Amino acid sequence: MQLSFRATQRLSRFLTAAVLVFAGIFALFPMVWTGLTSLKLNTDVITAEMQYLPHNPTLENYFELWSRKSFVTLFGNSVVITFMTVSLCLLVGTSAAYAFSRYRFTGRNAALVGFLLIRMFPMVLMLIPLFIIMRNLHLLNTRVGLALAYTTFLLPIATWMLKGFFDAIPPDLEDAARIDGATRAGAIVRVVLPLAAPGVAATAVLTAIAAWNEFLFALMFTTNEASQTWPVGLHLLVGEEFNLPWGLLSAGGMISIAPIIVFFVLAQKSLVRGLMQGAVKG
Amino acid sequence: MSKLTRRDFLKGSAAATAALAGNTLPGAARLLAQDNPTVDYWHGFIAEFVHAGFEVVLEQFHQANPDITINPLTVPNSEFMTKFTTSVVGNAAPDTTMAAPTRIPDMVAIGGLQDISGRVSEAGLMDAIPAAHWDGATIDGAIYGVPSFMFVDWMYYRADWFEEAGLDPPTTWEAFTEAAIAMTDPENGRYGFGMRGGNGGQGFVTKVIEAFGSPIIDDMGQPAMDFDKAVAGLRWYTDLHTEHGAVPPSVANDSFRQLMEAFQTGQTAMLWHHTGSLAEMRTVLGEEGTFSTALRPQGPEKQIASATPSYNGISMPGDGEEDASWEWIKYWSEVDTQVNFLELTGYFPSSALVAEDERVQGNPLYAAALATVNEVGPPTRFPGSPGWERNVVLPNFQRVLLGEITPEDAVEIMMEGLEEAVSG
Repeated sequence: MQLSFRATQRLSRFLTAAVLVFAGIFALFPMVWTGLTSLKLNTDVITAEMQYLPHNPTLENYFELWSRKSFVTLFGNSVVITFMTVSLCLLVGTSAAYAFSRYRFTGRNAALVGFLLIRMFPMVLMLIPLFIIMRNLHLLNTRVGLALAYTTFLLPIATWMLKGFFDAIPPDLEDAARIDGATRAGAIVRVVLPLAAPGVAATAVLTAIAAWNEFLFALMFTTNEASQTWPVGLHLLVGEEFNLPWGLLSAGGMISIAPIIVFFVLAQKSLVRGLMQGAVKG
Repeated sequence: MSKLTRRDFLKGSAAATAALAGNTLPGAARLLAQDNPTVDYWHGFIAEFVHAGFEVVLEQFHQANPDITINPLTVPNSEFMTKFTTSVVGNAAPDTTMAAPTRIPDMVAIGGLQDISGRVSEAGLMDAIPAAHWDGATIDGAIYGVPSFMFVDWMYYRADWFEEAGLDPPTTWEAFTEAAIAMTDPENGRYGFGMRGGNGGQGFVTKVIEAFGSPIIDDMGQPAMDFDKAVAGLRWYTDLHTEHGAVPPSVANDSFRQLMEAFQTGQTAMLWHHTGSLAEMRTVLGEEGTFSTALRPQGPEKQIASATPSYNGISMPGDGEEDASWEWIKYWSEVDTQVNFLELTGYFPSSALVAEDERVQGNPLYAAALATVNEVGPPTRFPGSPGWERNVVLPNFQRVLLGEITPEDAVEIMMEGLEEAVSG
């Protein structure tokens, strides 16, 4: 039996929708499951019969997490370090990306490749040299030290991303601003950066996500609990084998993603525009 | 439009960077005070109840040694060696650290642990702690760690179910099979034995094989598996699932958490683990009545069990902190410290003197560990053993459970893998 064109179209739309719904459920289910578990007491988590919905929903896990003495410190450290890392990456990355985009100088290509090369090394290889440098500079156990360490591996990505956005902005616009009397720096701040705002927002969000979730450096470069970050604290909450506090852990997971979701919502418009620009640019 | 000059831009950038750095740069370096030394201690007490026990030990040590401050740091087990190695190479290792016996050779090789043989001998600790417990921290005759507590293998069983069935906990492998079959009632979701067929199950397989009379390596560190005895052991163990259906059908995927929760929610009657999980069992199932502890069963040649000590060692103490570091790790070997820690965590003492302590003798839950601790040694270890167990023993054990290969096939593959692992 041969299907009519309209029937084929309908079937195609139905299959597309089915695949998208399946993919959506597949992607969202772990998060929904984590959210539901965070609302259960441990006795409702470990049961012979699976409970999908909490029978006695409670926020006790969130309250308990909040009441722990280290919670505020861990969370605060992560917020400050993420803010510093994003600021450093944007500040240095914007300048570097602009220079790579607009100037032709000796060693430009080598420098660009060099930036990428840094990303190709496993982070664990950078641990010992960075540790020794930070120890000699008395930067171990400091927020600045961690922010600088994160910048070492996030700055190359930020620079490459921003360079792509600057490349897409015609230099003629800057020339026009300079003819109107703007300095080079003035043209950047008043003309280029506003046009590149979606790209800057996208770079900021991706950098923030990476810095917020970073675990290895945060564990290696801190030797006291007052300087640890949220991912380290969460990892220690997970424990090893014994007595996993599933409810607390799920609450911690939900809290971990909350700041990133808030940041994403705030920057959503610019971010999507920025990602689309990057996607179609050729 | 006001002009933004390059100088203004650079000034602004510098000011912003300075503002970010403000108040976050470290203060003056820590001054070491020899009269009031601070001792750094890295440990892996992560689980809440274990950490609570550790806090009590800290408080008691502080009361006994008010001049010494302990600065503890929890390090996740999985990242311990990376952090420790980085710190040793960077000359910033802690004064003292917890050390697992499997890691001590590597920690010594990078210069991360000090030889404390002289201090151990002077303090008379060799008399208090059985000789076998020192082996894991002794390299070429030098001692690098003091045993602080032990993980002693034992068995949990549902005392209420056994009482209901009029059975005693099994003491031999044959009785174990009978009990596992008797306790199995799949229609009501009950199985006799929670077998670890997922990650971590490899350690049980090698212990079963040894208990059936096949060593893994000989005294020279060469492969020494006996094919027939190893097959007999593996067949008995896997038959509990493939022939008798006495373990949950999910066995090949069951690891520690699945097994603990299956036991706690009334799905299995017996479970093999060690003393480290006692506190959790008590918390979930109550002090007595529902569950109890028993010795692991005897195989044809020996008990299917081991006792693994954990050690504390001195790493890189600062000037004037050597004696304080020693006081701290020595404190862990004292009877009172070990019994208090046992009561709070279930982590079993390494000192032979605790056998005479009323708090230990008077608690029937500890009887199985007391009977086991001095009868068995640490699990078999050789260079390459973790990889061989994980990559050869476990997957082939799982294939037998799934009916893909026979125990004979699996043992043959294990023996070939062992040859490769030992030859490096």
